[in-house]
Amino acid sequence: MRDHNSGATRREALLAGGLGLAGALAGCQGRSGDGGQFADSDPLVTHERVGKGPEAIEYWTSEFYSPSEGESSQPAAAPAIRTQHRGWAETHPDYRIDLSYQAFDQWKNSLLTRASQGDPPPGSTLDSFWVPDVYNYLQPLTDYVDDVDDFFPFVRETATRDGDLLAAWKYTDCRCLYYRQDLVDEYGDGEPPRTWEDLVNLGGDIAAGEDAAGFLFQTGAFSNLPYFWGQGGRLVDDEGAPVLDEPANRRALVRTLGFLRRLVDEGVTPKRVANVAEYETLAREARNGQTAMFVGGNWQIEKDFKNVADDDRWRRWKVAEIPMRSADRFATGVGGWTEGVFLEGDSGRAAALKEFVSRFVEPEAMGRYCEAAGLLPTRQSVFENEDYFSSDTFPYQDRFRGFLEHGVARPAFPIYSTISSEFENAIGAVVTGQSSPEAAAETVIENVTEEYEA
Amino acid sequence: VATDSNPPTGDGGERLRDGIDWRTVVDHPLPWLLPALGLLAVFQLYPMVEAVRLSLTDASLLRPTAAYVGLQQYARLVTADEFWRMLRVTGVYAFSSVVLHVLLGLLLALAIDYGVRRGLYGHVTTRVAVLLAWVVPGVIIGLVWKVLLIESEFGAVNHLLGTVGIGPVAFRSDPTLALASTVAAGTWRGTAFAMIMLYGGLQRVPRELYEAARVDGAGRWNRFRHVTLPQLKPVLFVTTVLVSIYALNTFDLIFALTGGGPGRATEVLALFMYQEAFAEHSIGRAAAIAVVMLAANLLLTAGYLRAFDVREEL
Repeated sequence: MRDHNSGATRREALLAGGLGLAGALAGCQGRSGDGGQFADSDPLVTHERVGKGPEAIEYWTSEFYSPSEGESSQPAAAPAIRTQHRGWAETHPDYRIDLSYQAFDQWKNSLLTRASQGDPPPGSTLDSFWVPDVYNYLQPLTDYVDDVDDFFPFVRETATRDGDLLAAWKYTDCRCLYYRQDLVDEYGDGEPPRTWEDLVNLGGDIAAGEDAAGFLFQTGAFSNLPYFWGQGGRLVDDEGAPVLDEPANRRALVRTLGFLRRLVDEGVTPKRVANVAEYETLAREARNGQTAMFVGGNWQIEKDFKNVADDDRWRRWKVAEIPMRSADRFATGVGGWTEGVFLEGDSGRAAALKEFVSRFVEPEAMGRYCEAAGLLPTRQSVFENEDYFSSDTFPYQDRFRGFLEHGVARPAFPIYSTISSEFENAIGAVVTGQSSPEAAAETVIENVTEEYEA
Repeated sequence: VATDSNPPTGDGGERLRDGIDWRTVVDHPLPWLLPALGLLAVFQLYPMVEAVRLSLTDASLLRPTAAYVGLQQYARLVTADEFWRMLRVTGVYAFSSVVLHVLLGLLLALAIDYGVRRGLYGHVTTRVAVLLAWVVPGVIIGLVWKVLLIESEFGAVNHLLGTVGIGPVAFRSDPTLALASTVAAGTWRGTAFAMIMLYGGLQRVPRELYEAARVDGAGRWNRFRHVTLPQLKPVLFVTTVLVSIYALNTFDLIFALTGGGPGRATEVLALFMYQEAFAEHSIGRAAAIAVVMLAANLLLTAGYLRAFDVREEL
């Protein structure tokens, strides 16, 4: 009897516990399902969400783009983002964007892994160079974004496929030559080098006269592709097939690698450049007086010089176009970040999300954000509208705008990933003397062709 | 057939209403092995089978569908120069690592064992210090060594070398030195594991054997050669196998220290596999590399099993 009773008691206890748990879960469900989980006094936009509607839409992004100053990695830009999000939330009371912040290192891999299994997030912020890799999964934004012709050409070429705009490119950046004006005055004629020859001569003199490198660069592909593009080189044709084996392109590739090798051979650049993988390393060496010139990103003058300097010494650093083989044709690599939608359709949640994303590239929102964050708009009209974007807010914005005229984006084809990693390996092999420019170029061409054909 | 009315068996076993003889069940090894087998099947066997399956496809992260392509991925691998270059780099790295880990681990284990037996101070501190290197994740070790080996006066090692007029040495930008640096960093970390294993092995060598050898007039070298080494053989085998697997599969440390560079001078197979999967997005090819690595590990273990001749001891 006792056993029987105790068994019944256990069952009763389990039943009661189960009912309690089910009730609690039902309560939770009821709260989120009825749309009443937020009080009127709750803010419309927080670090975790945009809007208070019952219909939640997950969105992957970075803490750089948080609308909350306290959580944002760029607090100065948070008010502009918050204003933009509030506008969307007020017009979409039934929906809510749940912001999911991603660790940068794993973001792209997680996104591609989920997308290839048919389960991408509804939407995500995307580095512009990821866009070609997710073409197959992105949904068109054409009907939601106005005046696509206003974007710089490189934006239209990369973000558009078969006439559809697939990503909202919200800001861009460019690479340029940073140089110490005082050293250029002392060792040169005060003008920054415009050609490879100028750079080797001036850099060599500075390296010989100072305890510093004449010139440094990041060994990544994108920092060095402008040398190739500046000779008229093409990586792929209009269909995305690699064309590096065409004589003119092969020649441009060999010359580019030869120039980088020459920089090391002639002592302008130390061999340790092979280990420079981050732009921050270049800025740190520049601040420490270890280099006189380097190719960096436009954002660095504000972030890595002005903001970390205790005095006006950052003003010694000026910017110019990247020196080219000849001074009649310049090029720079342009990047930046975009927003994309993976939800199919043009109604309900998909429409709400596409409208959310399209707001990032509305001229006013773009101008306010770029002005606050010190970034470059992707719409030409925004540069010209003082109400939206004042180019006086950050140093050299007008110069950067000029550099964008020669902007070249990464080719909008998946084979670019292979070209990029092969070119980077070739640079490493050439500057460390493992390979001649000709042999390294041949390896690049062989491996890219083999990958494309496979 | 057992039923509700069946009497107890009388041997202490219990027959339940559904007819299960628990004594038989408890005495059978299968129920005890099932949890382990289940875990192995889910976390080891399934991924392995999936890797083999993927290696026979053209799976890519850039598209949702994949087609079976037979052995095409393997054919691409063996006809690529870069694969053989990386196999060579992996071989050099793994061989150097195994030799250094085991030799230095053995030296440390002998030194600590000697210290313990003599009651010398400091042996606990030494063990803890060596173990610290083992508990730190490989990525952190890679980053620490990366900072130590900076190729200017800001790098600790080059700063010290500079004080005696040497350098700066191109530890990471010279291809040969870069590979040597990865081996050094890996050895700094992995020696601790070999030391722990071999120190444990030394504890189970009967002291009487040393006494008998001493009585027979054996000197230190002969005692080491004819008593210590034969007694350590099973532990040496296990240590060598584990260190080899660890060295062959090293990824995190090299990824953080050199990223496979300069060029591809330190790109080992594990790093190549990662690059294929997440830079080239070619999951099929990455899976083929994984299968090749698995085969290499199995072959090496079989080779060790034969070379050490320890089947009976195991």
